[in-house]
Amino acid sequence: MTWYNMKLIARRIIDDKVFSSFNVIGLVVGIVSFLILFLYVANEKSFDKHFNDHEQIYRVTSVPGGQEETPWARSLGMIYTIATSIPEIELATQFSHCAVGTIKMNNQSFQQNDIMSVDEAFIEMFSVKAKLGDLSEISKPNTVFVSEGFANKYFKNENPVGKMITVDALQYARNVGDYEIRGIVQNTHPKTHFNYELLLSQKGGLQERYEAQSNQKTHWVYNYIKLKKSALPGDLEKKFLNFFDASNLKKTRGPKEYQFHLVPMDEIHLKSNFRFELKENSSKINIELFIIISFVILLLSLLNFVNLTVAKLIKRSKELWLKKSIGATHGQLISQVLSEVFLFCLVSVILAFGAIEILKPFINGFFEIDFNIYYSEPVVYLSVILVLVFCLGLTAVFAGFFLFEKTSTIDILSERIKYSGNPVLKLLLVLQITIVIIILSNAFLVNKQINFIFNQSLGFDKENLVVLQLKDFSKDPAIFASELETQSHINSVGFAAQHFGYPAQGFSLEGLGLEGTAEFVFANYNYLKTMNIELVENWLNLAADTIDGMVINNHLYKRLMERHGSMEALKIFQESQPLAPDQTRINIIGVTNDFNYSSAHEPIGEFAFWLGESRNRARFIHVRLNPGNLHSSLKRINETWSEFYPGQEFNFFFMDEKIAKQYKAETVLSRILFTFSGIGLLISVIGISALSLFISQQRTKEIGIRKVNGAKVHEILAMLNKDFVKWVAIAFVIATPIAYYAMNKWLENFAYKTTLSWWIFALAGLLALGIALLTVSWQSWRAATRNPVEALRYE
Amino acid sequence: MLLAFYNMIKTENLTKIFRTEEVETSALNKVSIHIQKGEFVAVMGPSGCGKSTLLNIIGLLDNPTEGKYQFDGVEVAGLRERQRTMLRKGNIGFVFQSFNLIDELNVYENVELPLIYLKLKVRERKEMVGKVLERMKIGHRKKHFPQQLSGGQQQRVAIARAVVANPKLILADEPTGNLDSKNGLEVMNLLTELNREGTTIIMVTHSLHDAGFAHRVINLFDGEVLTENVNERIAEIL
Repeated sequence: MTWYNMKLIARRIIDDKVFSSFNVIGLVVGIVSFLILFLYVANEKSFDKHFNDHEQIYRVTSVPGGQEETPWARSLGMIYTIATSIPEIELATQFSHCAVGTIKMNNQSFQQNDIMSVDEAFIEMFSVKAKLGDLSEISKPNTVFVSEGFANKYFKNENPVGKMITVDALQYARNVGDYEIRGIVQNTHPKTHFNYELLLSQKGGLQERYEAQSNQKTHWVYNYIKLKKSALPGDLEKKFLNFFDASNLKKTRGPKEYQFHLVPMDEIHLKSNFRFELKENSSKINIELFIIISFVILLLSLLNFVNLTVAKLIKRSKELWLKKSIGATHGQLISQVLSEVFLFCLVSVILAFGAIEILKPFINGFFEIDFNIYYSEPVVYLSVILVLVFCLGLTAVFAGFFLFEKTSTIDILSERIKYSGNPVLKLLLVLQITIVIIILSNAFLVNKQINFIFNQSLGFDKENLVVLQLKDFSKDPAIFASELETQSHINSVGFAAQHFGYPAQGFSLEGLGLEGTAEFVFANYNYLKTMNIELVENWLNLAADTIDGMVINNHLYKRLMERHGSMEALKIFQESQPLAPDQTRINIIGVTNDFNYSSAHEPIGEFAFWLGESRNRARFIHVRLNPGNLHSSLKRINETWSEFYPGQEFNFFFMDEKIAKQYKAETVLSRILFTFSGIGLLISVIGISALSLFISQQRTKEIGIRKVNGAKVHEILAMLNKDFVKWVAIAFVIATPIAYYAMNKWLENFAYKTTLSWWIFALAGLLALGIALLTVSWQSWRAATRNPVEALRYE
Repeated sequence: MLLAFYNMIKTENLTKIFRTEEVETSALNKVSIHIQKGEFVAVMGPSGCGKSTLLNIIGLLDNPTEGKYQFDGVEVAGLRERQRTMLRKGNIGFVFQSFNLIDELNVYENVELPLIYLKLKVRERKEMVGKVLERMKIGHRKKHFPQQLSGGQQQRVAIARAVVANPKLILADEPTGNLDSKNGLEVMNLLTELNREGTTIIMVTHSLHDAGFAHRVINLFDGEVLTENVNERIAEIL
């Protein structure tokens, strides 16, 4: 019997290549899309799970009052003193991380990424393994362990142990000292929320800074603790607060109120929105959306598959009824149908895996993601099971309840009546179109939102702006700047201690009579000019030798005016405030347009530029180029750099590119949404196309009769299209409220949101309609232009 | 002619009502007929008179709404689908106007199908199919697919499939409806021959010519038996 069925299925597939391949392709596309998205998500979710006892490890953050909206990953350096007084803490470590530092080896100075200064507890907590050397030496002064990658790059086959590395600059420390390489450690596991190339000992050159941590309100280090299994993180947060309130730190200058949080390490990669995060992390919103999209696409392709299978069953229902008359039981017939569905699913799954293997490099390149398929992952075989259960189940339900319900076997076999099974097909089709309209309208909205963010005024001009990173502070950068300014391709040059996108420093607004803190960046006056930052209020005295004072943003200015009424009143208030010996009064010399220095994801907060001409604030030289040949301009700058800073690496970036990087999550999301709505559309086109083929075949006789009686081709087309228009309309009515709700939910994630325009829905609906009509017309055209006599004879 | 008195099919007040949302149609209304083993009966009547419904019920494809039906001495009205299938298998063969051959199967495989559902062994099947194909004079075509055959040949294959399991009863629904007169005659001769060998045949037809081959003609009208005529020409021969 099985052999018999197999033979039949094989011949049928060959006979009906078009329909069979429609069926398989739709499912393959669905499975591939689902697995890619879902495995990517699974991969993102597996971060940091390779550490021993990862679920017991927490990051401790200390958030000063007023900064709740923009918490830092870095915190107060009080973890060692606290750890000794809280028994639930099994292990505590404090480390610093420098994204880009400057080091010297063999008199060659160069930039080095990911330098961390750590202690023995770090080695233990994060299971750092030595390839060479004894890791306990990390507790000795001025020792350094290098990663395998670093060793391979600079020492090849040589043994690096005993060689010296001079650390010229870390983020906030200069001339840290000479470090001796004591061994090689394994590279950081790629699925870790941080990365290290050099592990410096905290003893020696950095000792003083670390020892000062527990007495200062600086947020410079990262704190991690490992809790005992029984410990409750919530209780510990309270203990931290109590400890802080009882400590001397509470009384020292700076914020008085702090919140302490224990962030599970397992959640850092997916959920972190901290500033100074150790490594680029995933976006929680994206991850959730990917999960939804992956299931929606799979659902779409499964619906499509069942729909086509049902259509195919209807087409050959006569054969089934015939077999029934010959002596087949319902069970035998259903098992025949299901074995065919099973075969199709199996072929599709195999093809899908093959396609994933081939597509892998393209996927990773296009979406800028890191995707790999592991066949042992439960999601892989579970999805295969899901596909089989869904397809087999729905087909069985259809076959069981609808197909064999019709009892007038003789009438059907004698072609006196025809079974069309239309309600089931209609329902499945409407469902499919509904999903497509939802995906489409969401894709439009995401695109609209991304454009909105991209085109939002940043408060400065990001084009033609190149930023050079200064490392040598022994020379006055003003000389270098004036040299550059003489060049015709350069418009202006300004200095700042930070650049856009890099977290700024903070100061308390207490002295201005406001609660909370404001962010500020050290810069010089020319910096404002170079950035094209407009001043709405300007009290600058340009005649003075040096400009010294604060330019605040409009947001802060408005708050100050609300509190004090006028600048004069503010001045009087300031004068009345006591001043510590090492403090200076804030001198406000201007107001800029509103802008946000850290990220456009966040609402605009209080912000200021602290202008001054002191040379040490010139860590980043901002150069505005005249529009034109960027390449040759850069070459000229590089030449000047080499003259001025001989032997030093020329590091630069373009501001617009840096900003675009901030929107990587949104860009990736937009690409993925558009691609997958394209895929959703493709699957639906396949479905609609096959169905209209089926329907026009079913109605061949009717079309023939109508034509014989004078119907024109366009009238036939209209007749066949009418039903599809109706279904799209029904789908539109169902889809709109669902899409509206989903979009509103998504937009809640943004500080700046675009509006939900009606055209988004209209466009999605029209597109779905257009595609349905095109597809149907293409199929019906062939039916409508057939010779009617032939059509009737065929019947 | 002892066999002639044995009732193969006996219905009493057979009623079939079809219900849709709006109307209730009675397709058969208290039909009582007796068909003896070895008989050749033609059922005639205008479209919609209930011929197909009667054939569905007699062929055990459907249950009556009311009434009794004894098939070969067994009461079958109200049997479940599964039991009907078991009884139908090997006992009843169907022949249709539109042949209803499976396009993807060749002649041999089409004829073999009922034997597969009877779970016969390959060797047995081969022997039985070979025999019936020879008899229907299409043995030389056994590797061909339906679309490669003429209408007459296709109907011979369909008849071969209907008789391959040696059924007691053949139900034919306008078997010559799609054939020209020459091929139609050939089919009628085949059916007559089968009948002579002992197979009971019930044939629905619109053709008086074809009905002429039957022993008896039952005329249905609006779901009721109008007349039952013994075909005189045949009766004379008997």
